[in-house]
Amino acid sequence: MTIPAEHVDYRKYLDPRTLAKIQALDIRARLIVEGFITGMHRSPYKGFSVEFAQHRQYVQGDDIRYIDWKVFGRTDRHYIKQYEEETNLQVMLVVDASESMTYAGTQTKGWQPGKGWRKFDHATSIAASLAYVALHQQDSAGLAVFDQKVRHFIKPSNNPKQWRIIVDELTTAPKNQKTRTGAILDEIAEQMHHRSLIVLISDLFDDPAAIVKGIQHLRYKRHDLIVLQVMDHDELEFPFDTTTLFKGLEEMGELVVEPRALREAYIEEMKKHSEIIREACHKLHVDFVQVDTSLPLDVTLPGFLATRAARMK
Amino acid sequence: MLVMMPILAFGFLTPWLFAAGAAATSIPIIIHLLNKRKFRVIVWAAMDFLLAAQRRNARKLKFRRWLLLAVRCLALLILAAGVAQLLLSNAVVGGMLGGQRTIIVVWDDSYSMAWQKPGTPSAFDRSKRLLGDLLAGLPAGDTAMVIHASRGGPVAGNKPSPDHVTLKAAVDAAQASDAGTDLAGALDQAAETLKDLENTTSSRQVVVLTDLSRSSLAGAQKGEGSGERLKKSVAAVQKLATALRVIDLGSDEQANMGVAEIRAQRPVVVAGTPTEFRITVVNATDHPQIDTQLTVSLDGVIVHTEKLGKIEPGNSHNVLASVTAPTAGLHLLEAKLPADLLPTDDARRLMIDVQREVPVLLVDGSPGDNRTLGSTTYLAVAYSLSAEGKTGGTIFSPKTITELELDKTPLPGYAAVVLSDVGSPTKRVAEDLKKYVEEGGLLIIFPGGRTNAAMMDEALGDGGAKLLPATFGQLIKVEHPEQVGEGVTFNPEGFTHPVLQKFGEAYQAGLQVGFTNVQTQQYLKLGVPKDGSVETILRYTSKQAGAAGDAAVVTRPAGKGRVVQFASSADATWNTFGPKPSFLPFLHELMYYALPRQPDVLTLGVGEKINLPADVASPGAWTAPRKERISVTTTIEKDGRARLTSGALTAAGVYSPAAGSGAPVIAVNPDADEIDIRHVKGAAFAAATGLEARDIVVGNSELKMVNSESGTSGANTDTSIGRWLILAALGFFLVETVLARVFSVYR
Repeated sequence: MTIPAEHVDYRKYLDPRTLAKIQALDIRARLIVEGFITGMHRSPYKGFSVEFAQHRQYVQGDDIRYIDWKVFGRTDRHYIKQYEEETNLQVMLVVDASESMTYAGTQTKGWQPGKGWRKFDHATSIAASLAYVALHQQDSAGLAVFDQKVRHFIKPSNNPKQWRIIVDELTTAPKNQKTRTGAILDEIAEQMHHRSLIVLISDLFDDPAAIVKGIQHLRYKRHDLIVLQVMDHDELEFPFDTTTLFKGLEEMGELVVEPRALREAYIEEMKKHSEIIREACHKLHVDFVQVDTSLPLDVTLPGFLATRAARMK
Repeated sequence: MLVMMPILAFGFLTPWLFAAGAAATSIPIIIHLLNKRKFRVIVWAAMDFLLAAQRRNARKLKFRRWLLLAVRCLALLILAAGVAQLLLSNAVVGGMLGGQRTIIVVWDDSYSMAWQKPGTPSAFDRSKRLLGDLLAGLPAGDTAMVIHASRGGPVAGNKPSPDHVTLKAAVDAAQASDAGTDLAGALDQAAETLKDLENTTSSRQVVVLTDLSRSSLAGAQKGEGSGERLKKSVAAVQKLATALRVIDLGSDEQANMGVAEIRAQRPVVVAGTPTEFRITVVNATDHPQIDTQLTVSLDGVIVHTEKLGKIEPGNSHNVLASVTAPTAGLHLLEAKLPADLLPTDDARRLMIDVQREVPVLLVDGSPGDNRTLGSTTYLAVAYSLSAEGKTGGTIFSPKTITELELDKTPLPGYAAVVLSDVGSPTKRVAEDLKKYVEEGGLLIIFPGGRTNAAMMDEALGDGGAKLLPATFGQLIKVEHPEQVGEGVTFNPEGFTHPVLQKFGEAYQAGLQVGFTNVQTQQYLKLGVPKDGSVETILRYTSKQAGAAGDAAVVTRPAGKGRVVQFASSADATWNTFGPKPSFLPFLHELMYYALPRQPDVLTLGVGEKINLPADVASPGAWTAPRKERISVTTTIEKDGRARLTSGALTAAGVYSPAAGSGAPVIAVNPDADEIDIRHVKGAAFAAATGLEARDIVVGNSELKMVNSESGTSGANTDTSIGRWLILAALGFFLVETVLARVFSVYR
């Protein structure tokens, strides 16, 4: 399915509440990618490779620095330079499909328990988008979906069908188990023999020490690593007012609390957990980004990719 | 200001309403529990962090929850208490809840309240105005009752009435009575009324309007008598009333002089014979009174005036005035002081039934003949002569009969019957004598040679008529009567007995009074009971030094009358008393002492009723003091005798039948106890009656104060407390709001 970019206001499709209504992940991912590409001044593709590949016509949003002025002088038309894969980059998308990722925030319009925009939806959208971007620039993209163990493992490939395979896998992944993120990272580190870019997309609701240990393991294997902590807005702000019975996912029991009385302590606990991982990532030169599922993906991804491109430049 | 309220020290007026309020405090608990059960459910992923936060804050959260719960409960509890107090201070709601309010006013309308300083209203006038305003200001639905606190004063209903208009009209028409104060009696009546109201009336206030005169305490400061009773009455009212307060309407300037008593020194007053009257004047001021003029008048004619000399503050002064009534019949004797600021007790009156003579019946058991003297000869002579031994001037009229004539002679016409040397009365005679004595007669018994001691004891002693003070025992004979000094003589024992008092005075003056030279050769030993019921007037000397001799003359009251019993004869056969000069005055003094005083039915106190023999005056309308009239009716008593009776007499003064000469028949005097109107300080009154000093309202603001209190049905205290409680509850709610916000807990 092709959506002409010049006729579509992609931004409105990037709101999670809108994306939630789109069942097909591939469409969602392409909307995301095309959407934020349209809105950016600088192409995200450049984030992954730097070798020139071809020219293409300038479209609004492209970085004018990449306009080939020589071509403009010859043809009087604006073309920008596109780049080929510089190295044989492998992108491994590691997606958390544990039960905690099924949480869908109450802030989503028309929210009902068990429905709405789940963290997993957000994670798969990111994963599919990044796979699309990687494959689009001839990088290899692979996928690992895990909970207590790695449920699906697709080796990185730049096969044109790879993106479809990844999307299909993300769509059918089971999501009702506990998580063991740290162990999973160890397992992936052992399986990935080629130096790769590992993108971990998870809520990281696990023992932070184990997670850090897994990250260390991956870094030890000389993998580049990006950690995207997907958090629902509710989990970040704990915005509840009335007495609430919280039923824990992943067999965490139940608890009736007066949320306003606990909000401060909860947020503190949450931040403490994230900070442990964030600091470890910082020390290990790992990108760590906390993703709020209530924010549009064209805000989250381009920001992240731009930051990363700047670092790699 | 006074406040009668206990509450936590406060007492809740209707415990059940407070209980309902208290039950309402369960509301926050229920809400609290419901809130815990009523919640939304969220399937939550970040449970670890929530559990950690919960663990870290568990104790703090628990403390906050309990603190909030406690504040909420307390706020509701106080609110319930406040609302209960306010509700119960509202007449309409009070009525709806069966919690009617009542004010009982104990109104001191005794005559001391009439003391009036020129240019100022009397305490009674002020109390009247105060009471009128109070009743006019009562909200509809409240009930009120006015109890007059004067002894024998008017009675105004026996239960609280919602008809304030009628009550006020009665108050407006009321006048100060001439009666004394009876606060205890009025408070007892209030307590009785309160008993009936305890379960039906929420607010029960008792207000006492009085001048706090010393007479109203009447011994309370000594902690005895009526004062002790007053204390008990106050305690009884305090137990039943929600508030008791005393409004002090008195003044420290209150002072008074009054005639407290006027009394004949003899039991009978005989026409043409001087009789001494003792008059008591009381100085109830704070200064000595010098040369106060006392005027005594008989039937309006001044018969005696006297300047009383110096009377110290609080003291009384006795005056003896000799008055001779010219004729027999009813006479009005009046003792009067110059008018002062309280005129009611400046005069005191005595109605005297002046007798023509005192008839004495002498019964001679051994009458004499031409050659011998009878046993009553000396007696007849003694009662025929004056005390000074002169012919005429005696009040007695003796008549002698024989023993045989006794059973045919009607005794009631005689003031005294003297039995001399009577052998032994027949049973019928004994019964007649018993009846005679019990109805007020005087019986004097002399034994003699004919007297059979055993039979006399049997007929008149405990085995028969029970008249004899002592038993007649064995005959005591002196061995050698012809030898001077061998006979038994009297031992006057210091002349301490009232009969011998005048002899004692003469003896002290160095005169020969003649008792110790009387020789007795024979006498019957009198067996005097040792229970103290018998007075021994004279004794014989004892052979043993220091020991009491045998009784010579004894006496004992019997019924309304009295019996005097001699141990020896009235003639000269057993002793030498008859011919001695002391015999005559002794018999006269004995008669004055022993003659029973008849109940004074002619001189009454305020509050008493007329109850006269029908032949004294005529029934019908009688004129009364204050230009009023009363109705006197004839009633037949159980014994068939007709009596003149009336209702309670409320005014001091004289009462006389409207028809006829208009001569007074009844004199009514104010209560002498009320003379001392000196003001008692509130604190002293409170201490003497068991009240708190704050329960006594003193000063000039009492009118406004009580009126404002009563204008809200006397529930000012209740409403004030109610308001404070509600304010406190609101404060607690505010605290709860702040705490809930600070704790970020649901509301």
